Amino acid sequence: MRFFFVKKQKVKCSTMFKAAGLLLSGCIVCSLLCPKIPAAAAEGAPKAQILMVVPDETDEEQQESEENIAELLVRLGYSVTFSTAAQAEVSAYHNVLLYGLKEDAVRKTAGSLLKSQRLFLAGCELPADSEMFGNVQKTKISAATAEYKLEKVSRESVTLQMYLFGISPEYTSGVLKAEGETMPLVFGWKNVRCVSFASYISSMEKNVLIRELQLWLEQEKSSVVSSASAYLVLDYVYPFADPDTLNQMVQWLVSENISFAVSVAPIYTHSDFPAMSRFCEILKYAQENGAAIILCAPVIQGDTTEEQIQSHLDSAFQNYCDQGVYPVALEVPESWIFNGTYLSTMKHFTTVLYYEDAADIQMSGLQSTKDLISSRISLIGPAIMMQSGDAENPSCCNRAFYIDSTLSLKQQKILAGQAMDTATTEGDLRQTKQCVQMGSRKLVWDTETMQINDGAVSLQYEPAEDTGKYDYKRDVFYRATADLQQQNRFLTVFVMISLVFFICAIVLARRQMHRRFFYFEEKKNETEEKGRK
Amino acid sequence: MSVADAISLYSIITIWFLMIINVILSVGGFLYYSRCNETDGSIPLPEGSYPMVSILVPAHNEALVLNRTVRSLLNFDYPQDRYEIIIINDNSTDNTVELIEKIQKEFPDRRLMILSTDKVVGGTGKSNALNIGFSVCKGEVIAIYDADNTPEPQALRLLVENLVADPRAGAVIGKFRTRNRNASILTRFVNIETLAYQCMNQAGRGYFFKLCTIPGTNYCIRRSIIERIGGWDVKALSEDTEISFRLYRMGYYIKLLPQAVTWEQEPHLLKIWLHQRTRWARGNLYVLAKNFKYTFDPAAGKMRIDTLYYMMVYVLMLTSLVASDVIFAGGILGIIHVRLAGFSSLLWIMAIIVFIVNMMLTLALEKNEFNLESLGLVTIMLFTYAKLWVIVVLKALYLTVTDKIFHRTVKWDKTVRYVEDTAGYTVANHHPKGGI
Repeated sequence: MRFFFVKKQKVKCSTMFKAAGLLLSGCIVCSLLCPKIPAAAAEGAPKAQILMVVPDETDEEQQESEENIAELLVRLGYSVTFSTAAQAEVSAYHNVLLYGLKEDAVRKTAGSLLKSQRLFLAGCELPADSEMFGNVQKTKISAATAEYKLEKVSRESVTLQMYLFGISPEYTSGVLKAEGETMPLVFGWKNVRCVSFASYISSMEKNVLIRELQLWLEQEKSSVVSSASAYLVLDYVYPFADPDTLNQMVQWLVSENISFAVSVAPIYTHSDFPAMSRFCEILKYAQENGAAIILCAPVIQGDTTEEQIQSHLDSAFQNYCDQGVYPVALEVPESWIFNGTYLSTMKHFTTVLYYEDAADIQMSGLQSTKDLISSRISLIGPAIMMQSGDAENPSCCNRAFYIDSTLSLKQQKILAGQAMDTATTEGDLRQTKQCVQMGSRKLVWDTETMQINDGAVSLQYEPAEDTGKYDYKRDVFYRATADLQQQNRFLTVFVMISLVFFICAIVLARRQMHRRFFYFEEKKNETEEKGRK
Repeated sequence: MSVADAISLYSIITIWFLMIINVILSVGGFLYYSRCNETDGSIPLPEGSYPMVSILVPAHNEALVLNRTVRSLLNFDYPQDRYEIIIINDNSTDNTVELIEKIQKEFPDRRLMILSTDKVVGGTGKSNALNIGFSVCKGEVIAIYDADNTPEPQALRLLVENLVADPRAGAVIGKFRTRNRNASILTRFVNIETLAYQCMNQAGRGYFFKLCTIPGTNYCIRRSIIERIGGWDVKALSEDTEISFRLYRMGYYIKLLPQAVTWEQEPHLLKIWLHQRTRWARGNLYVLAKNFKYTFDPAAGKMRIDTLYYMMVYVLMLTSLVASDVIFAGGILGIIHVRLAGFSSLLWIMAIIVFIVNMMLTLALEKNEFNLESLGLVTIMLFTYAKLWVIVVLKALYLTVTDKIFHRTVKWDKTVRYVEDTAGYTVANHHPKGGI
């Protein structure tokens, strides 16, 4: 007996909502904008390595899952394009990934595939009777537990469909347990893989998917799944953060022989200030001891042109170089990697790390993820949060463990320790060749030496003497501005006192006017009375 | 630092500096008025010791308002045999002479004179008319009233009593009120402005420094002083300010007596108002230029404070208001970008509230002026009427400079009068040629 695990759907989406949802998911471009012409088949459109077929109508959870699948594919180094089941031209693609499709859509899409084409089903309903899966019978149950390697997850309030396959799977991985029955979590035949999860939001589901996707994609190459590297990155490193904590953390990492990188905030002005020099002293010390410096991209607010971003990054890169700190990689928000505007900026770096951000993923300027893949940028995504004690967590692609350097030293050490415990391979950006082209400077790190514009650069740290004398060149404007800010309090007090005084004075004045009025009226009456007498 | 930053910085510092000074002056004004309101202002002189007073009333085509003025002057409670009224009919083309002659016949036992000038000696402005009137008057004390004034009966007595009582006072000035405040929105603004000016600027300066500027009407001055200074400066368009500075230099002070009230007609049309205020501003600029040299002369005494005060008003306030308006407009249009940080919007809002409450305080010291209508008017005038001041001074500056360049003779610009009904509303404008 075989079981299939499908989460209960909550689909109630309109066609318009579908379009917006798909756009938000960062997956569909031409297929939705030009519904009559499938994106992948449009004339002149770049053809991706994988076609992902998604449902016509999706709920929020499915949209997020679609985003995550796209991201995982990109992290694995594959370009992907999207289509709905009705419009999909599956014959044009060697690799086809179906996500969240109903039985009829699966039958239609899978039925038109050639035997040489390869199929990955994620969270799809298997057709009851098909050539590919044989005679499948299904029974609904209400709760299940999934196990994959050492990870376990329980699901309630779900619809379980237990399948009896006519053709026994050639490949199985993980276990689904429901009401005493078991079935594989992942199963498949030669060119086909099926993963039962319908949602890919939690860490375990994503872990399962990324590992199985890599196995499926690498299957043809007959290669063993390589263990990718995990990079430890000290994040949120700013000149105005506590230098002592940063210094102690750096020294601890050095003493523990842990490879690490430091992601520094971009600095555009006043890079010659003593505070910046002191901050760079720590970075230079870290750099000498093997740390790779990563330049964090600026936070974009409002409309910003590509030239403006490039100009700011050039400025920040130059300012760090002038201080003897040489960034070898770039850190960007996740939304950047699917946005054509930022792609040209990222291309200036061999290695780009990204972190999850709240911004919507937009596909503007990209017909598919092919542009990103063809840019040959080495992408390093954020590590999926691991379950504690999961030593065999899949490590199919490079990932970064970001440690917030604004946390206390103790917390940072705990996080670094946990990251290293879950990482099978400790990554070091300095162990790979890096190339950065910013402005007129070309920085090359060949794993041993660093060159800027073909000139050797020393990474040796030499403590600088702090004379304590620095001409801040603050003109009248800066002094006055600072003074104005200080005067704010004084003026607020002054204004408040004035108001209180004036209000009291008004009350007194009115009382005086009343008194005066009656006094003179009385006096007038007295005079009149005297006159009468 | 960009030019916009520098200009903004200058505006902020200057505006706040001036605002602080104004608040301080308002405190002084309130205390001065409160002190004055405790009495009726009278300092009775022994019977028979009231000095002879000559009231000079320059009039150039003022027939429309003069009847009311003269009758008010005749109604003073000052001993009738101790004051004379001299109407200087300054080259008028209307029926001023007939009007005065008619009143003379009506009050045959009163000392009411009319002194007419021709084109040769007259028609060149108020200063010249006053000098002519002074040359024939006999009083030990000279009182000046404009032709559109209706002083209250006790005004002259109070002014003279206070002048005689204090030998250090060179002149005593009364308060002027707007007779036609209901004529238009403009006269309502002018009413509030004049009350605030007299409370804040006049009484405030008087309280702290014993400095007041003669307002041009409703004041009395010692004859001896006029004789010593050689009369009024005929080149000055604002002869009142000019003579004030000369008084300071002689060591006298000018006393403000708010109980001595006169009611005057204010311009009810913007065009007339602009003409009048431009003339005043040009006159003040002339006085400032003439007296600026004394700013750094210790021998000039307290007068230096007033020259500095006028400098602040006509240089600092003007430039800072122009600059802030330019920055504001440029910012809205997206042309000017200011990086200057420091002041919060809340502070600006509070500053506006201070201004409004400050103005309301000056109105609270007056009868029938402190009400919701005034509150609304004060709020509106902050953003409208107050802005007109900038236009007036800029125009005055332009005319002053061009007059210098083209060697033009400065001409007296008479304020156009109109007939009022009893409530102070406009009935008809006065035609310059004398018709209605």
